[in-house]
Amino acid sequence: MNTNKSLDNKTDSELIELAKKDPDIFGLIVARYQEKLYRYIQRISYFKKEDVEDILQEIFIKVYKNLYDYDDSLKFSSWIYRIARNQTIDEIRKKSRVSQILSLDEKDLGKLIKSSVNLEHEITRKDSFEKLRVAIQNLPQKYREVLVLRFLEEKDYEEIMDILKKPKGTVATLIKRGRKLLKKGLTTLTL
Amino acid sequence: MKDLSQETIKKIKEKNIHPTTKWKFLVENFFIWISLAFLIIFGAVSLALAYYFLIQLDWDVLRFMHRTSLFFWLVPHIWLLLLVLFFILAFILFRRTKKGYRLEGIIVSSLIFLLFLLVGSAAHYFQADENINNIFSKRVPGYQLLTNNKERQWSQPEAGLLGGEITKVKEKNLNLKDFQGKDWQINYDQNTSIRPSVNLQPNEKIKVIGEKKNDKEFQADEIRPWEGKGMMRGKMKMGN
Repeated sequence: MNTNKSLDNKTDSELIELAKKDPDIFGLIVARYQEKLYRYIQRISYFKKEDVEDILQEIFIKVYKNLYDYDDSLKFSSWIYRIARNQTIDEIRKKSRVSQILSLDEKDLGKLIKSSVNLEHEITRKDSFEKLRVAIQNLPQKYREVLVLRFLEEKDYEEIMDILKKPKGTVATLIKRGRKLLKKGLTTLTL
Repeated sequence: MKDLSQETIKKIKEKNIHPTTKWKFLVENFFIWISLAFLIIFGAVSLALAYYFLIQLDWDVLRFMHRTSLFFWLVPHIWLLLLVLFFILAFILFRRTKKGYRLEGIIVSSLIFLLFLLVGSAAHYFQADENINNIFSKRVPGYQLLTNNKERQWSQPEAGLLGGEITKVKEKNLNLKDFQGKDWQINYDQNTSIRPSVNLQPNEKIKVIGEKKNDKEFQADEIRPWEGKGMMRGKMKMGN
């Protein structure tokens, strides 16, 4: 118990160092990130619960195999999100699931409404969450994933840059254009 | 969702999965940087060679462009093509380094070009470009066809550009052996501009701008010395 408690207080980087020698400690990393990554995968893909769990396990095994590749000059969470994102995109390509419905709940949709300039007023007055869901689904993948990271995962620009492996300027442009497109898409749906 | 931690650990143990060694990643990273260094050197040498060829060519004859083709000037220049190729590869490889994605594309491009320029200038200063060109000319079959050297530029009678060595001089014409060993009769008259430093003597190498009349005859509009534009001895003189 005491050992577990002391391990719980350790940072991600400290746990990584220990996990390199003891796979059981890696279980703590899995426990720390499984829910966050589960939600993230659902937000950027169209997979069912069981599929997401399978993908997630693949992600953790990949993380474990690549522990020595982790560079502690960047946040561990950015690194693990990057692996999760790449694995999910690979799975999407493999399974070509493009026509299914995104797994965004009303809480997620509410966060996205707040993220868009002047959108909150319009959406509460005229639109339903369903319209927003469609508008998000209609967004190209590159805008959708950046909006998910910024407004649902609440990552800062630096973290998004490290997750997507894109320069900060590009990230800023994608967010700006994504918000614009989301607003435009929603207006079109309302009209 | 179900708790994946125990399940994942179980799978790791069952399948005897281990973290990939640190050395593999270090070697991979080292290989990327070494490849990048080579690409910078190759790109810089390509730039130096492209420059070497470009300064050799007579660019002022571009005004005769209606008789020749822009395609000839740009496309067959293998070093320009290689320069672009090495630039693209270096850009992609830089992006694949650990932190390469953090810099904006314009900064990465400028950085690569600056390195090409610095190393290329050194290569030009130490005449590496000329030496490499000589080695390629001797040892690589078909190399001459892939580059636009001066001889090739002045071996386009159809386009109005002909060069070679004078074999015989007469009153209204001269005989010239071109770079393929073919004999030509070059006709000139009072309308022909003959550059001041041209002596019109046998064994002299010259460049002629004009029009091909038939397979053996070429009407000269302008005659220049092989080296330079031939303006060194005062004003341009008119022919006979």
